[in-house]
Parts: sequence; structure tokens; C-alpha cells
Amino acid sequence: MTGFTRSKLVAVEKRENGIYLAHGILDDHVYSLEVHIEVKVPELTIKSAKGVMKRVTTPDCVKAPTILDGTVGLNIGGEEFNSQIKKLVGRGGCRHLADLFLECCKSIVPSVIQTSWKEARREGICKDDFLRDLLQNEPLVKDMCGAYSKDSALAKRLGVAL
Amino acid sequence: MVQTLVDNRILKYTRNIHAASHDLDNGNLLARVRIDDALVSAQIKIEVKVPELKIVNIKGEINHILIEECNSVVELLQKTVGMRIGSGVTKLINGTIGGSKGCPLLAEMILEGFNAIIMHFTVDELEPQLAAESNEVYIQAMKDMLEQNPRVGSCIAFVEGGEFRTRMGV
Repeated sequence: MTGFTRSKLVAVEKRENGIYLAHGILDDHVYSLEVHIEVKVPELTIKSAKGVMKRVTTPDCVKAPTILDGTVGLNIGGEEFNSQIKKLVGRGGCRHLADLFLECCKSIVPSVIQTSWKEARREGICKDDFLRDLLQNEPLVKDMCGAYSKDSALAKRLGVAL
Repeated sequence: MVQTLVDNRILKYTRNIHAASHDLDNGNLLARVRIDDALVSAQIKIEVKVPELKIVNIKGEINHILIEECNSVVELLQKTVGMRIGSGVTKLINGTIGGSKGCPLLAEMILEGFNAIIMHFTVDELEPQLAAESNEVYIQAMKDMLEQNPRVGSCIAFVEGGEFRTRMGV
């Protein structure tokens, strides 16, 4: 028997002046909430953050999104960003709101990669050439994971020295 | 200049994550997590022994991914067998699976599965409160829950000395 399900959806639009707008929805057996954030790229700073608690367990849960005002100006690429949000938004507000908020933040860099990949394909650039350019010239992906790190199998195959 | 007639731009990216937990016939719990976005589609299954919450089996599959070298990351999953879902497990998963040398996405999927297992039990605990037929029954169920879980204090509603606790007389 299924005891619990959680679905999260994040959708990202590229707006003007380097702003990426992420809408996130979380729905599970207990909670339902939404988050909307604007992030400036390439700086990765949060320009605005709003949230709505739609299905909750206490009358005070609906106050949690007010905490999001305190995230404006933070850099989502910072080393301590995740723990900072878990403390500020999670403990200070709601951990499920922090979960969705982080999911929206984590979607920004992949959406930049996806946007570039789509443009590269339109220009007839093959995947390996796109990835080579990404590794060499996109600081946002540097050390993002093992694939984009120095000595990765990808860097070796493409002959990229990082 | 851009058009201002309709406040809409075509989406650049979407990410769907679905996590679920199920009771198995052998008494264990199974968590399933699936992620689908423009760059990757993957799923994992984690079997957890109850009540120890110890991982006894884990499997993963990548359906598509931008970087073909990433297909091998599912092998990392076996490092989690024997781990217990409990204090310190987030750090442990991020250290062994995630990080700048590993696969943070796979680590996130595992932690999403762990969350589904924990919430599986939470749903049962919340049932008496949320299905209460009166405010009095809700408050009593909430008081009982707080007395049984003295460490609950980690959000805006349950913070020690907070408005909600005060209103309930806890």
C-alpha cells in the first residue's frame, strides 16, 4: 500500500536582463505549497522570493513564507547556501518550504545549460563541441559535480584541461 | 524592446520529481524516486528494513542524460547499502555520493527517498489531528503529539515559546 507520495514541479522562464524566474509547486499527502523566485544570472543572486502555503498542519504554517524576504540578495552558488537556507527558511519557517525553495534554486543553472544547449543545437553545433565549450568557458558549471570537475571522464574524452 | 502585451515567455526548463513510499509484504518499506528534466531522466528504488530503517537493497536506472559518462553513476548507489536513515545520514550521503567529485543529483534523489520513508510514518501521526471533528480534538491531538515528540521545535509553528504553542497552552 502506498503510504506517502510527494510531487514537485519546477518550471523556469528566462526573462529580460538576465533574470531567470522559477515557479515551484510541491504537493504531497500532507502539504501543498508554492514558491516563486527570480535569480539574476550570471551573478546568481536572488532578486525576489515569494511563497504560498496552501495545505498545512497548523494555523501558523501560513506565516512561513514571510521568511523568504530574508533570502533576497543571497547568492545561490555560495558554498554554504544550502545550510543557510535550511536554517533560515527551514527552521525559521518551514522545512518543506525550504525544500521547494532549494529545488527552485537548483533548477537555475540546469536551465542556463538547457537554454545554451538549445541555442547551440539551433546553430548546428554538435553535443561534444557544446560540452567542450561549456567546460572551458562556463564558470557556472565549474566543480558543480564529478562530470564538470578536473580529471573527469568527460574532460579527458573531450581533451579539455581544466 | 520586448513585447508587453502578454506576460509570458516560453519555458526554458522544467523539472519533475516524484517520490513515493510503499509497504512491502515482507514488512519492509520501498521508496521510489523519479526525476525528469530537460537534461536527465532517472529513477531509483530503495528498500528499507523496518524498524531499523536500514537500507537493504537499492537500484537505479538512467533513462537519458546529457553527458553519457554520467550513466555509470548508478554504481555509486551500492555504497548506501547498510546505511541507516537517521541522524547524520544527509551528511553521509552528500559525502559518499554527492559533492563536487560525485553526483549531487543522485544524492538528492536518495535523500528524497529517505524523506518519503520518514513522511510515511508522519502521515499516520498527523491523521488524528487533521481528521479531528472539532477544534478541541485537534488541540488535544496536537498536545499529545508535542508531548510524545519533545524535540519538535524546528519550524515557525513549533518554536519553543512561540505563538502557536502559547495559544495551545503547551
